[in-house]
Amino acid sequence: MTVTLVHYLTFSALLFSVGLFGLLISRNAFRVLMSIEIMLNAVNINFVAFAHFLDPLAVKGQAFSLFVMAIAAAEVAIGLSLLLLIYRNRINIDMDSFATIKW
Amino acid sequence: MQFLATISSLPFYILATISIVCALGMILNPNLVRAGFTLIGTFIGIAGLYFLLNANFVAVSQVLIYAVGIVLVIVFAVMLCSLKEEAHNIKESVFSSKARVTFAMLISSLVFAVLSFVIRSQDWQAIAKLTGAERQSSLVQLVDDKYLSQIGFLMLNKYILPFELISVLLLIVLVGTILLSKKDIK
Repeated sequence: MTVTLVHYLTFSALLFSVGLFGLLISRNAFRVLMSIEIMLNAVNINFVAFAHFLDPLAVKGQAFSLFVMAIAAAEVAIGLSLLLLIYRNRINIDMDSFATIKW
Repeated sequence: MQFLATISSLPFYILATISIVCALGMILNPNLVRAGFTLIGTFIGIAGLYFLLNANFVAVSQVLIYAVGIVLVIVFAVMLCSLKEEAHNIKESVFSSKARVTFAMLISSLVFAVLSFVIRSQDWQAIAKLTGAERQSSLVQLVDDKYLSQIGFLMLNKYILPFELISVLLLIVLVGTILLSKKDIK
């Protein structure tokens, strides 16, 4: 039983669900950021697996996964600086307490 | 032959297990700094999968950007926020509300079920035939070391617009981060 595209896609779906689970249960904003990173990685695996199995000559999926990495780095930088700002103002990084921001 | 096939698929299963276990460990570890370092295991496992998929450059970028850069930045930010007094609160809050965990489990397993159903129901062989992957993969051995130049070629020809937009985005992020983390925003 060799490893096929279906194996990689199923693995990435599993990793995506684990990231979603972490996103939904964690109340600390840092853990939410880490879960989002895991979900982005799961999508990246899809890109690279499609590039390997369906498009082995012109590896477009690999180029796209590099773009996703750049977006993820930007997202983490902005997210962390926002979290530090919120922490400085209210000494608390609980997701539930962010609800007051909307007023 | 069966045995050989099983052996050759072993690295995939080992790396996949490492990634999943480390991701779960990150979610369930009450200590935030340790959770951040557990994330490195996930990223290293995924980098190994990229090596298996012949994507050497993406694997190295994964290790450099994710496993070192992003994890380090997150862990430093956690340390800056000095959540020491909050550490025991987090332990409670992760496991306290049963309804929340049940809801999250329901949603994520539903997503996984739908995704795996869609994956199973596709005829990937036909799609591979449509894109001509089988014909191409016989040529891959010839150009196996040309992936990197292929990626560079794509980025400066077909994907030149997203490539340039990414650099603008990174500049905006640089300025925005400095602006946000300044002590006094006037």
